[in-house]
Amino acid sequence: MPDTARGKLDLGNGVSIGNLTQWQTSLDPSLTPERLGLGARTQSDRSRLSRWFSKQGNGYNTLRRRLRQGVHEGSAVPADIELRRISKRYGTGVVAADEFSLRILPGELISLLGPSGCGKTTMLRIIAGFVMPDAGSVLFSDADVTDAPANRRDVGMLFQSYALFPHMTVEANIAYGLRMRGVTKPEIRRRVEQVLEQVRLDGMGQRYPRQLSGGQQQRVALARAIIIRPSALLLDEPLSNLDANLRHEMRAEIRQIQQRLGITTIFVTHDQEEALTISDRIVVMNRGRAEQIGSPVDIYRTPKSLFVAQFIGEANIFRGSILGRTERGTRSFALDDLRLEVENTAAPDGSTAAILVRPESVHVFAPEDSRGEAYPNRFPATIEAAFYLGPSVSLRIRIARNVLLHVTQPAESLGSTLSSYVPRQGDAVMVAWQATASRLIPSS
Amino acid sequence: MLLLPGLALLFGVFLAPLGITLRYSFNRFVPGGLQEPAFVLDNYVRFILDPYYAAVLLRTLAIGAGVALVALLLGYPLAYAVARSRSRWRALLIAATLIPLMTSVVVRSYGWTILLSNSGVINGALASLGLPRVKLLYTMTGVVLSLTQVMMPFLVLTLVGVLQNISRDLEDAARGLGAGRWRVFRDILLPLSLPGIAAGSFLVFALTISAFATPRLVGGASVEVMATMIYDQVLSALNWPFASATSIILLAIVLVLTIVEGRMLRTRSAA
Ligand SMILES: Nc1ncnc2c1ncn2[C@@H]1O[C@H](COP(=O)(O)OP(=O)(O)O)[C@@H](O)[C@H]1O
Ligand SMILES: [Mg+2]
Repeated sequence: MPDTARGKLDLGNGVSIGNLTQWQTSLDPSLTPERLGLGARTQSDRSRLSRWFSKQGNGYNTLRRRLRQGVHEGSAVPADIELRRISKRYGTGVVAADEFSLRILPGELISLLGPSGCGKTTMLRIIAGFVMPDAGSVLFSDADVTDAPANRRDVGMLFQSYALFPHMTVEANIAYGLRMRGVTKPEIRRRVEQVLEQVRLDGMGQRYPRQLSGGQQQRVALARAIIIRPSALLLDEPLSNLDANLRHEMRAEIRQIQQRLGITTIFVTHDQEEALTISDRIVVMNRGRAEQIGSPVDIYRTPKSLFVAQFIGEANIFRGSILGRTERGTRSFALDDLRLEVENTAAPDGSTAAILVRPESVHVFAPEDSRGEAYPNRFPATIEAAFYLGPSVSLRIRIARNVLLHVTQPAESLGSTLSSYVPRQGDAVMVAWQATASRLIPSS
Repeated sequence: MLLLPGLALLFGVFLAPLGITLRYSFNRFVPGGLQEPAFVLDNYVRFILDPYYAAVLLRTLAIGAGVALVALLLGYPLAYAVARSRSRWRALLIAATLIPLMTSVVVRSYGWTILLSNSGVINGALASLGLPRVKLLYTMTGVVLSLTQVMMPFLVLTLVGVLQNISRDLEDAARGLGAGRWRVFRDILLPLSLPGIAAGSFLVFALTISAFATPRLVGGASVEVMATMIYDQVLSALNWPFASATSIILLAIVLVLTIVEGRMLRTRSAA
């Protein structure tokens, strides 16, 4: 496409940017995509724009000033966030971040998942600017903001404690960020009303936080964070203080709002199910480090370390040694006296390894059931314990003297495979699983 | 039953002398002969009509307000530091805050006279910098300075209690929404710590307007306040009725302020 056919935004100083999209035109609402005849924005446009911003001294001030000028109805300006080898050690000697690196794409929802105390909140605080890292840098859309104070970062944060201002009404709480940005009173009123509706709190504007339920307070906190149309939204265990039903509802709602606004979002949680359901990508954290970064499916199916395997979902982990290659292109694996067939690997014969078998990849058959023969891993076993969970049955099955297998079966499928069979302690069964269901975990 | 000893002590040591003072304040002063029983308002009228006493009262209130203000300005940042500090520093800071309270008022006041006098440490330092000397000893400034030192711990401790209950997240939330440090203070810390500011300043004010030793030693005869005046009326003029009336006026001021302050706090928390 010839250059002239693309939209051009003249930013002065001889800089002009082609291929504008919505977020760029939001800098100047009169530049509608129609008027400019725009195509998709390119990576090079975006980095040229951010380079231009950072050349103007404090890039984000310029951006904000421009944003303030317009009504900027549309979506937020999603930043991509880059964390480069961030380290942080507290005065107490605790290492909360250890060479942590991550790149978050514009509009992406990424979860930081890890046990309590692994440094999730610290990482959010570093991104928001409340905590200074000892080393490393934070970049928003290629502009280094490591030394920028929190009030210049244009980040919306939802605190685990919600941190609602107790002496201000819901409306004043939500309007606070707009007031700091010098938005006019009528405009503030309009946007507060709009966002209250968005989080389903219409008519609650005059209440004080203490007059609201936990779920309502949480939505106020969310509204307060998104009303400023932040370039990034940081959520610190936003659902942990809600009861189970509300948690599921809010989870879906947060995801929906996030996608509608297209905000780059970092979602902190210690709940693996939450992370799996809501995220585009997950970062599993352990002791301030990123253990693994990947899509929910990646993280669940191909954990790169024992820590990840055990932290996400239920896991059967067996240590043994890798033996020869089979004619099916898989490997043999010695676990005590058992011979297993596991996924292929380049590891040499005799090397020790750990394998992961997810409880739901194991099938349970009656000993005489011929369908078991379709599986390379097939062992007669005894049920040691059975727990009926409604939709599924959780079983502890002994397949060798030292090998206990956790198995989850849909209650339905048990009924059909074993006719009206209800597993009971002491029953003899046949367990079977595919070679690819035994994942090798790189030892670290 | 367990209340009795406490109540007895309270009554005997506090209420009874108070009752006697109140009674004395209506007696008539007989020059040379102490007082004669009466029920007149002479003493109060004298206090109100003579501009000298009004000046003493105003000076006392001004010193009270001055000390409360200076202690607040200096004490707030200190209280904030204590409230936000972690264990090790915290104990140290609190100890440092309390030191003035652990020294005798006489020792402390003499210390201040040494610091403040015309040939004292402060003026010595000013002179060596080539700056003019300032008269501090026997001035209101000197009295305010030295009283501030003792009173600050009361304010700091009150404020620490209140500031500790203001979650740090609130400050961070405001900053994250675009507020600079000053706005965070103005919009978040200040309104939420107002009850502590009111309670602490009031405590300091009440303690200051009844202070005796420091105004006497650092202020001398030129900075007469209610307490020193009462003392002089009792011991030099031997005018017990007038001293009593003055005491009752001082007490009434504190009492009224207590009530007003209590009201203010209650309406605030009800809002
Ligand atoms: N302000 C602080 N001072 C000292 N240690 C801290 C501070 N904040 C957090 N820590 C410690 O750093 C570690 C990581 O904390 P945090 O980031 O809150 O973890 P998470 O949010 O994953 O639970 C923990 O061991 C915690 O005790
Ligand atoms: Mg946390």
